[in-house]
Amino acid sequence: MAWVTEWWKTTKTASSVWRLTRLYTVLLLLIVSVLLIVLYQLSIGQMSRQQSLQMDNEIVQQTELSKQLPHDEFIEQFKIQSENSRQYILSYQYQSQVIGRLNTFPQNISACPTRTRFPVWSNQYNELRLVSGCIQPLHEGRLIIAIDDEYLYVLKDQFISASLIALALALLFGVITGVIFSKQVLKRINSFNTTAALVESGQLSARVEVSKNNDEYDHMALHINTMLSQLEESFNTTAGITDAIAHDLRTPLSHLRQQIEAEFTENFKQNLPTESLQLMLEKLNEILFTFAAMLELTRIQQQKEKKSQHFKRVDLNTIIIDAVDLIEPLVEERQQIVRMENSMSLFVNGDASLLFRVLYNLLENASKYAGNNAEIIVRMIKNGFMVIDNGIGISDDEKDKVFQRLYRVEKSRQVTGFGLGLTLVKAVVQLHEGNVTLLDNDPGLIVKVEFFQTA
Amino acid sequence: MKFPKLIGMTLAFTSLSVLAGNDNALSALALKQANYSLEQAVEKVQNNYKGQIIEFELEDDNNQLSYEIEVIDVITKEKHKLELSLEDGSVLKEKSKSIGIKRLDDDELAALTDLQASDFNLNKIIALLKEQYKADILEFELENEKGITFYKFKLFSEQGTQQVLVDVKTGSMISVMKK
Repeated sequence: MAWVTEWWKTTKTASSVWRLTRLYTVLLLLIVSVLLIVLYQLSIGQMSRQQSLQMDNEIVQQTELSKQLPHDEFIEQFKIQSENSRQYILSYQYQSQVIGRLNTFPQNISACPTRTRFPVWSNQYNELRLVSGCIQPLHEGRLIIAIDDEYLYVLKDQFISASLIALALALLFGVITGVIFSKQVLKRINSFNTTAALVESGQLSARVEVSKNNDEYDHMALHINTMLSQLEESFNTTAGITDAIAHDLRTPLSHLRQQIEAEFTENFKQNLPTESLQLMLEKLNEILFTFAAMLELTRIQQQKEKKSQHFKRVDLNTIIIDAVDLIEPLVEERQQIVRMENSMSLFVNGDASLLFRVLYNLLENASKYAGNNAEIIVRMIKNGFMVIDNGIGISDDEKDKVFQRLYRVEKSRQVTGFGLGLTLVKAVVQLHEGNVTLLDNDPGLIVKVEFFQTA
Repeated sequence: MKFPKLIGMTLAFTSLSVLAGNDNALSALALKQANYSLEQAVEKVQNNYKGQIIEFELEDDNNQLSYEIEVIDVITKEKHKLELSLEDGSVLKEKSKSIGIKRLDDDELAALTDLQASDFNLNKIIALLKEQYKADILEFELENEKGITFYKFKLFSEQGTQQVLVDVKTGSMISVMKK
């Protein structure tokens, strides 16, 4: 039972396969039905038609005789015929007399050629027989002609029950082959979906399994795998270039910083002006910080394969409280409010310091871009949390781009930043098998972070 | 009027085979003499017992004929077998037993259901048959064959015995095929 409901659920979601199964089953039933109808018409239908034709002839014959012969002679010949006829049950009524095979004239019988089925007691078989017949008015009386066609009805019944069994078998066959077929197709499609999900979660090295059948699915799998290889390569190239720049420039810049620092200390000792040096130092620090962040990002993104080794069970609630505590002075400086909603324990397997960075980055972003007097809320949800602000928000066409390295929202160019915050957030969340989505708060932005597996 | 009975007894002693052949004639004779008619017996049974009469025949107990009538009550699941005197309609014997509905076969059950649903009047038909065929009714039985419920009567008249079937649903005769 369980696998049936399971199958029903999966086929319902993968509706194309389900539709195909249905169509296939219906077609199968249709073909079987047509075959059965043709078979019926060629056998029982043919017999039935032939029988009617013969009976019509007999009626015509009797009618002609009644017209041509004087009544007495007609009755004489009728008596002989009705006694001798093996095929037909013939009776004739005139005035109140009934002659022929039947002792009484049955009631409620339709006029020829429409036939009525009526019971007749047979002394020969000592049982009730169901016969088909009709009444034909003749010159001076009424003729009843009937035929014992019970065998035909028995045949019909047998044919109908056999047909029903055949249809049921066809339905069963259709459904079973449909199930097998859809299961096989679904299995292949599901492997595509699984790979796509892995790639979406950042595991760019994932590839679709290729079977030995060399069918359409394998062709598709090969194409997708090639595409993924190219994607991975270009991604690695982009990351590699930024890393190379960051890495190569970090050492000379560090030296530069040391020199400026030395200069600064020297000037400070001699009471010379230090403001310009101070400014230069700050700028340099920012650049070095960005480079450090970039390198760390790459480290996190490349770490995926061997992650989770150092993961521990951590409570998101504690991390959120810490992050909110830390951001509070900064927020208050901008006359903003930060608060927590729906506080509850939620455990995930992860790196506490990385998760803290996520929270802090999101809160910092919210504070930075939402403007003065904004309200920032961190709300715990079933399997994650949301950071909600009532600032200017992010337009729909920029929502995907903000996760790219070094991308900065057009409207926020004047605010200091390097466009690495959300990229880092996404990398860390993906490292924890989670997902980040941006939603509208009208006005403002909602950042929703969900983890697929909570501990 | 003991005379016909005496003939019968004489015949019985002389030839058993002749008696068997004349059984119906003797029964018919006894019915003609009876003070209490079949219609009266049927009415009495119908008044005293709920349910449907499924069978009637003449029972011969030590050369004493009586009406033997069987009634089935589907609701109380009881079957009554009664023997009524031809003289005064007094109940000579009564046998009742309860029957499970499951012990009735499908045909019997269908017959009873059909009869209950119809407005068939048994006494009216008995009177009609007697009148129409100028005959006595020796026995009748409720039957169901091929989905048709009917009473099968055995009549005895000057022409001998004959069978007449009456459809319970329509109240009309079912034709009998000769040969």
